[in-house]
Amino acid sequence: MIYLLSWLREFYPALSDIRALEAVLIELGHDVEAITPVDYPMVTVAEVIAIAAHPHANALKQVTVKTGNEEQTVVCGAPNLALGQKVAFAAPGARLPAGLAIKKTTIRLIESAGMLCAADELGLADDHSGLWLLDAKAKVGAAITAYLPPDATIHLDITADRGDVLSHFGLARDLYARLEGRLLEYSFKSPPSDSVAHDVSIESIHADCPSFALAAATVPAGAQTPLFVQSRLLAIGQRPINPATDLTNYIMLAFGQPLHAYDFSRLPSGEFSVRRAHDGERFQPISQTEIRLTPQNLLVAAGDVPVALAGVIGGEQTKTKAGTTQIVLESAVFDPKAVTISARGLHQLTESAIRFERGVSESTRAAVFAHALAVWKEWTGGRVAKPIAAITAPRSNKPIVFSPTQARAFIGTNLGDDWLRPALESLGCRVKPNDDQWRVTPPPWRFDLALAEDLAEEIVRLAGFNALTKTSLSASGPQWRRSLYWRREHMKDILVALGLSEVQTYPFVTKSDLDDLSTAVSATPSPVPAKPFLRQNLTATVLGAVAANPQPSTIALFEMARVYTAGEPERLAIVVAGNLEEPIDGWWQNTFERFHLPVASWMSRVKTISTAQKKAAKIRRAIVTALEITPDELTSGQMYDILPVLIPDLDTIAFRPLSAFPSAGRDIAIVLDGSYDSNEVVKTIRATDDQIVDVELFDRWVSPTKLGVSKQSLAFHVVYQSKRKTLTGEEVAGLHRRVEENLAAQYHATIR
Amino acid sequence: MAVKGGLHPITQIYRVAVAALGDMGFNIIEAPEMESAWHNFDALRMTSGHPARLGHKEFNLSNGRLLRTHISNTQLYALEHTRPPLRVMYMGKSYRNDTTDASHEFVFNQIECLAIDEDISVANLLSLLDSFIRRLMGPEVVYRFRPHLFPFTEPSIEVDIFHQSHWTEIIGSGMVHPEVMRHIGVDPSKWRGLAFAMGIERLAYIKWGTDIRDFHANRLSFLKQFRP
Repeated sequence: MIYLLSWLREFYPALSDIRALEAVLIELGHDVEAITPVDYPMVTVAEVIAIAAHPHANALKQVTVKTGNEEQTVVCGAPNLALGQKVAFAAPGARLPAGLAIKKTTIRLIESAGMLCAADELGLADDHSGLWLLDAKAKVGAAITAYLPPDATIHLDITADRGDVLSHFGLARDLYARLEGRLLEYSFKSPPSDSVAHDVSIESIHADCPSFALAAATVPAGAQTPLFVQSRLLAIGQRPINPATDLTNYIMLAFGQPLHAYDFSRLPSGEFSVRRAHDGERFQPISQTEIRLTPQNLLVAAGDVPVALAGVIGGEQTKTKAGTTQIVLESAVFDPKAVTISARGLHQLTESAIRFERGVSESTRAAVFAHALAVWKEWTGGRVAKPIAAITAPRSNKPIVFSPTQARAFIGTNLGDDWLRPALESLGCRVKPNDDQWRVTPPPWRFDLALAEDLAEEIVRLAGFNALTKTSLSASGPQWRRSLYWRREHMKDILVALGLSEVQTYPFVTKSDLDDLSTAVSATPSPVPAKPFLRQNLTATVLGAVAANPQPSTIALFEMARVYTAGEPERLAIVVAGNLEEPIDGWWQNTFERFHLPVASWMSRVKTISTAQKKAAKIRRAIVTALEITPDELTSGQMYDILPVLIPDLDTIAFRPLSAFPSAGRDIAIVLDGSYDSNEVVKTIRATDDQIVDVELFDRWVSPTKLGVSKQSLAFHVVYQSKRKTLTGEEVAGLHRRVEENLAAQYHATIR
Repeated sequence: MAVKGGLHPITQIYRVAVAALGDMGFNIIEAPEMESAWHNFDALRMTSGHPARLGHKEFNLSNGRLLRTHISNTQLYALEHTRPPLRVMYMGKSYRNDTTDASHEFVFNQIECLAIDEDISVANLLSLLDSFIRRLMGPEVVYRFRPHLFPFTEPSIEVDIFHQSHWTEIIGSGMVHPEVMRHIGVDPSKWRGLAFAMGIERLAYIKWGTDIRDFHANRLSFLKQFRP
């Protein structure tokens, strides 16, 4: 919800330090999405330096004001005009809080270069009696914000258990409890009791509506929502519509009680009831097309016709409009579950539904309604009948048994009883102390306090985190490093040192990847299109990772992960693929030797993937080999003691986001002196150009007979990619030539 | 063969987290990914119709189970491995039927830990979180605690870190709700529990701005960027 700081000040005047307020809101558990200062662009301090009569209008004057370096003439009808006053001057181009856009105009043939503002035009107060005056010392030309208490819109993400703060008064009350240590109360106005021509009655009310009230009122011709109210609604993103609708929104945003207004002349009847819908019953919500209801939906009916989806939204046919002269105002409390079913089931999560879902207090409903009716009279001068109501005994909160000693231990704090009791009372709880077993009854507007732990959380919110004495739990010994997890991680380190790359694949496969269809498990909906089954072997998905990497030509990947047969066992799958047999066999031999496993018998466990399976997996390499085992089989040939485990330093990783444009790969093989370190050569290649994004050594060999005694052959795969475009074939060829030239120059290398 | 291999970035982040939690006395346990609705939701106080449950869109399985929507199901298995007082940690994949974008995937990794003892307090939780965050993000990390709402903890606290000029939540935590303690098999009048969890891909996103979908695409051009 978005709150206006100056509106919060109506209930809690001391709120002003915005930065401090942000920190407090966080500690209260109200996440701050944004705080935006309220600005008055192009409204500055001006001084009245001359007042002349308006030639064509008795009530108006031509006023000359000094505005910074200039003088401007403005037509003004304020009764309290006087020379020397410091006033708020809105220049052409200014947009005032209630939406008024200021332009150069002509008023009765006299040009007016702007406007001198009243308090309500600035959204400061509901006062249009005269000009809003600044202090005599105010500096001419300064922005008026310098002379106003700071104002801001505060966008908070309120948790689902705190419906009680979804209003300005509710949030002010929570802040007051924290900052003042007392309960904030409010004196609601008394309702009018006029006689009104149109009449309403309440017939039958469903049990899911514990409180239902109506009041008939008139809308005098020309009635307007006060500017001050419009500016408040606009500031928090609510568009003013018409006075009756604006009243319902204003009261909801002020006190958290949703109201609804019906146009009486368009109601099918004045006899109201609250009931469940008949199956298929039709209803057209405001500004929408007709929907069909079911008995799950609670509705408000007039005669027997649905006029509102209870607690959610009113009907299009009976909504108030510009010409409405007679209204019926409704104030009710509906059962949260009934509202949730309608709001979420019919995708109508309105501001009203959000509040009823979380719980609206029955105890203040009548007082807030009375206040709303009095406010209506103040705004419009309309006549308001006394409200009628149907009320069942209100739900009251059960007392919670609360032990201060246990609470202190649970929280980890030294706060004494003489702090705890007033703190709970500042929330509106009634506290009956009784040695170490207090009985604490939460206030009626809280629906989230039922356990001693809930009260403990309230204490943490009110005291702040600094009131907790941070105490560490005792540490434990280092023997965790012997655990299965670290043994398996050490295995991964060895595989990586052998040149294998670790992948993590989605566990979803097609039917053909399964070992046993009769025990296969599928997911609904299918997380990956056409792959609804959970893998029964790990090789199938690792093959997918091979297919995702057409380069380099020889590739070795592994994954250690679960398969989804009974018990979800962990597996290790290694896949080595390439176009030549020798390097592939070499991979496997190195691996088995490193793990001290008998090479011949283990080589016979390595499977060669069939042509059909390769095609299904979309792998283009000639030879694909795979081994899938339980991880611990790999270590069957070696004893492990305390393991040196590599714990990465995440700060040394320099990740660069990848380009969206396709890359092009080229291989290069060179013969050079055997004394050169291949890592240096990689760096040299990379440094040739920015558009070389990857260099990988994929082959190195020596041969005294074929190359010469002191020579080596190195083969690299070089990847070219631009961040700005797709490189053309010519551009890639050009870059590759430069790499060759660079290597020839640096290392006297010959290109093979 | 002078080719370089490498660990997957998710593995690397897990190692740092597991080492930190291991030093704080937590031992690893495991639980199924194919879970019952009761373990995944009801036992953790996310009963049907509860708004929090509506936010966990699950994948249902043909064997009557579902793919777990969070790692917290593991809490309920703690007593199969040990007895209180206990400190356990657990990690792995969870699944939610969410729309996929740069920071949301239908599969994601989490690490969570649970401690149950007679005298555990909220203050202990804050202290643990402080140690863990500093190990993970360095001692200069700027962070704050914020009361929040989870169905399975009371009180609940989120930890936000200040990164690139704004606050982002990184850890969810709280004192295990008494009802959940009973489902775990522990008497809440005698024992207290705390738990906290972190999303692994989320940490990667905060540290490196990675697109979450890249983690399971397994392109070597991406994976290689995570080699020292």
